[in-house]
Parts: sequence; structure tokens; C-alpha cells
Amino acid sequence: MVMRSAFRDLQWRRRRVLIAVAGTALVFSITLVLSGVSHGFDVETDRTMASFGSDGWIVRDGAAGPFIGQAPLPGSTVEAVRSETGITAANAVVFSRKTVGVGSPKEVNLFGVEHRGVAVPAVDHGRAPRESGEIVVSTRLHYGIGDKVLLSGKPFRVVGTISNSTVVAGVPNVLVTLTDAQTISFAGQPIISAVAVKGTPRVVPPGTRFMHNADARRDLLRAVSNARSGINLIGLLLWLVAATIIGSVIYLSALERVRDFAVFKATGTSNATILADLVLQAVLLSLVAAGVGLLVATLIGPRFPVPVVIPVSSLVLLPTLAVAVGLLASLAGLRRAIAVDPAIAFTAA
Amino acid sequence: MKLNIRHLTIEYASGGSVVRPVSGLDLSASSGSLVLLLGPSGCGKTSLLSCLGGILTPKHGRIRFGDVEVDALKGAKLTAYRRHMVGIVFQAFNLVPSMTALENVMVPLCNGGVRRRKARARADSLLEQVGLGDRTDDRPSRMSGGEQQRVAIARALALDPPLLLADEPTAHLDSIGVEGVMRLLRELADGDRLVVIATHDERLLPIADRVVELVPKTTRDLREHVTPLPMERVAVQAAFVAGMPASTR
Repeated sequence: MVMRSAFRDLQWRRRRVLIAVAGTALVFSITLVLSGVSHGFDVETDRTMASFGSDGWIVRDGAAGPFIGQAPLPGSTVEAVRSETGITAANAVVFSRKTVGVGSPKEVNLFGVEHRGVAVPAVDHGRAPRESGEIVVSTRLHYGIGDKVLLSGKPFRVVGTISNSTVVAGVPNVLVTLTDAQTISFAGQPIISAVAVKGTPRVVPPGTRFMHNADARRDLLRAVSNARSGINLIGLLLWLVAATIIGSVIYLSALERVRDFAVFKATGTSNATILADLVLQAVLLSLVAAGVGLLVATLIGPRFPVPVVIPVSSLVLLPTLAVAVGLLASLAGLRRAIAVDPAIAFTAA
Repeated sequence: MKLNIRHLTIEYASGGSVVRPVSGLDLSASSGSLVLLLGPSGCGKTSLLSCLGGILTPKHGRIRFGDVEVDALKGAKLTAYRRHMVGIVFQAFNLVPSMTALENVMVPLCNGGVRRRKARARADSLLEQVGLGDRTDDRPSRMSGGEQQRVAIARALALDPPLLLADEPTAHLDSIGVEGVMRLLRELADGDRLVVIATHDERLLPIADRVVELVPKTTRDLREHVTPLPMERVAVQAAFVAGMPASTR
């Protein structure tokens, strides 16, 4: 009967309940999308790192990483690394942030790579760049094979595409030959950002150090660390907003049902049963809002300019947290319900 | 079962003051009878019903119904008393507006541990008994005052309590509704059930086995009631007693 009573009351106040569910669902959907954005940073970085197929990186001693925190190395470092014991393959990589197109140029992550060996990302359609003037682009840039692309003012021809290849918050990746990358990034000087290696060197050339993939991954993610902190904070605030919405509805419900509760108590309904009624309402509201929120998040997620990958943990966590939020939010209402004097039932309506 | 009230004094807080509507009341009644508590507003009728229903704790005195010391009940025992021993028909009907007539009657049944199917059958039967067998799925807002009152009576009877309390049961009814409710209440006061009605409506006098007139002590001009029934006057004190603690449950 508790469930029937709670459900009937929600039906009775359906307009308010619908508004509350819509509001909470929207908040939940934004929370989910934000967690998807945050997780998307990890997923795109992992995908890009995996595409290099390296075991580690040789960077300049003191450099924070091979990408964002790079300190350029002389091109000759590659040969020195290849001769080290423990290294089975080594290739130079150049990384820089550039733009493609004219008029409204788009920011890209430029990777200068060699055409075979380690650190040559797999191309989904077409082939890797082999000659000067050839470029492989992320499908996020919406270029096709054979298209002409202006990269930092220099013309390139698309020879391959990689599906949704992005890093640093959805910025598309492009691959060119090492020489072209050096021309664009280092004015043609034989300078490289890092050396990708297979194997683990026992010693490294003077002035360099070995960096594991995990550290290189952190280097790429460093660019979005502030954004991620902001997103997490907003997510926390959104949970509080959701709790406030549900709490308001439950509290109002408790206020308006004072006479009902008084009658229930006067006719022998225990406090626990009345509390279960309110808790059930809060949980029902939260779970329905979570379901609608998930649906909305699934619909709006792909429209975001950054990769939105809603983690499975969030899908599990959402209803769990939603129930917790519902329970927390109903506390004020529960206190109100417990305080109801059954003698109110004898007063005139 | 017998109801025994001894030296009952009721106090409660109201508007910053302490009100003592009943002071030193003695009363007894037995099952199978209908007792009418008659008197003007403020004489303590509803407070007395609240005490009998285990909702208000008297300041002094004893209330015993059967072998239950009502005034001493607390916690789960009090809840059980309210649930199984007493049925209350409130002046304002107090049906839950979001629930149908059937569901309103099912509430005390389900809370009393009756299984859902049996509760539904019992509620159906009770609504049939009060003449609302065809209105089970209607919400209170679609019912007249008289119909709501009959649903409230059905709800009060749900667990077949030996004590039925009715507070101003005719207050919101038209003359046709009054007649129906009077007949119903009269029928209910038989066998093992004691019915106590608080009212100022003298139209109910003919159905009472016993009439107890609650008269404020300060009222000296006690008028005689023209009634063939035995009637007793119980003088109660309706007074504001400033600074005294109130005790309510």
C-alpha cells in the first residue's frame, strides 16, 4: 500500500512531478554528458597513444613529455637511440599545434612521422604519408582522399584518413612526413620532438631520458587538466542542483500531505510506513529522471564538439547516485512528516 | 468491552496559552451502545474523542477500554491500539484525495497486515455495506459530502474495531445525507462495538442510547433537552490556564 500511496500521490501532483522530472532529467543528462566529455579526454588520448605502438619515448632531459611538454631534440638523437641496447626500433616524431584551412581555420594536432616502423599510426582509409605534400587527416575534419588541404599555409593532398582521431579535447590529428613537419614547425631545421621506441633502453643518449607511455599519456592530458577540473566541479554542483529539485518536490509534497499523514497516524499507520512512502517518491522521481536523463544524454552527446564517451561506470553510478540524491533530498520532507501531529486530523479542513 | 473514564483532565497548548477543555470527567459506557457527546463548540468533545483514540494524552486521569489502559500507551502499542481497537470518522472526512474510495478503505487494512487481495475484498464489501458499491473507483473529489462521509465510515470500520469514534459526522451533510449517516451509525452500534459520537447536532439525539452533555462549568443557565432518552450532564471546565504545560502526543 505504501507503493500505491506514493504512486497515487505522484499521479495526483503529476504536473509538478513532470516539471521536476524534466528539470532533474536535464540536470542528470548534462551531468552524464560532462562525465562523457571528461572520459572522452581519456579515450581519445588512449586511442592516439595506442596508435603509435611504442613502448616508450626518449625526450630531452628536463622535458615534461614528448608532446605538450616537449623540448626539441636534434634529429641525430634517433640514430643514437637505435644503437642503444634494449631498443628494437626507434623513430623520430614531431608534434605541434597548427591550423588547417583558410577563412575559418581549424586547429589540429600535427604529427610528423616516418612512413614505416614504430610511431606510424594505422590509417583506416588510404595510406600513410610517404612523400612531401601528403597528409593523413582525422575524419573529424571532413576531408576525403584526394582533397587539397592548406596546413599552416602550405598545400597538402589527403592520402588517407583515420576515424575520429583526436586528442587534447577533440582537436583532430593530422599526419605528415617528418620532413614536412620539421619545415612547418621548426623552419626546416633537423629538430624533433621526441623519439618513439620499441623496447626499453638500459642507457639513453646523454641529455635525454626515457619516458614510459603512461607519462607520455599524462603529457597529452596535461592540456585538458584545468578543463577536466572545471567539468568535475560543475558535475558536483549539478548533483546538488538535482538534489535540490527533488528535495523541493518532496518537501512540498510533505507540506501538502500534512493532513494525509495526520490521518494515517491517527488510524494506526507507523512513522516508518509514512517515511517509506516519501522515500519511495524520492527514489521513483530520481530513477525516472535518471532514465530520461540517460536518454537525453545519448541524444545530445554526439552533437558536442568534443568526444563524449559516457563511461559504463557513470551509467551504473547515475541511478545509484540518483537514489542517494533522492534519499538525501527527502530528508527535510521526512523530518516534516515525522513531526506531523495526528491531532491535526481532528481539525476542520 | 467497557469504556471507563476516571477523573479525566485534558490540556493542550493553543496560541501561546494552555487550554483545559475537560477537567475531572468521569464516564463509562459498554459495547453495543451509541453514546452521544453533546455540547457547544469548545466544550471539549473533540479533545475527549482524541484521548479515546489515543491521539491526545490527558493531563490527568485514566481511560480504560476493555483491558487496555489507553492513556498509558506508547510507541508500537499505541500504534497497534489506533490501528486495531479504534476507528475514527473525522469531521472533515479526511479521505486521501489522490486515492480512490476503495484505496482509501484499503489503507488501514494493508497497514494492518492484511494481504492485498483480502484487503480489496474487505474494502469492496465495506463500501457495499455503506451503499457505495458502485463508486469504488471514484476519487473523493467526485463524491458528495454524504458519500465521502460513508467512505470515511467504511475506512473506520476496515479492521472491525470495537470502538468507533465519530466527530461531528453530520457537520458537512445535507438533510438527506444526515439521515443516511444516522441510520448507518445506529446500525454499527451493536454487538461488540461501542460508538461514540461528538456533535452539537441535536438531530442525532434519537439514535443515541445515551446522551452526555458536556457543559462548561461557567455556564449556569443549563437548559433542559426535550428527549425521551436518558441524558446526563457532565460539567466540564473550559478555561485558559496560562503558563501550564500542555501534553499532546
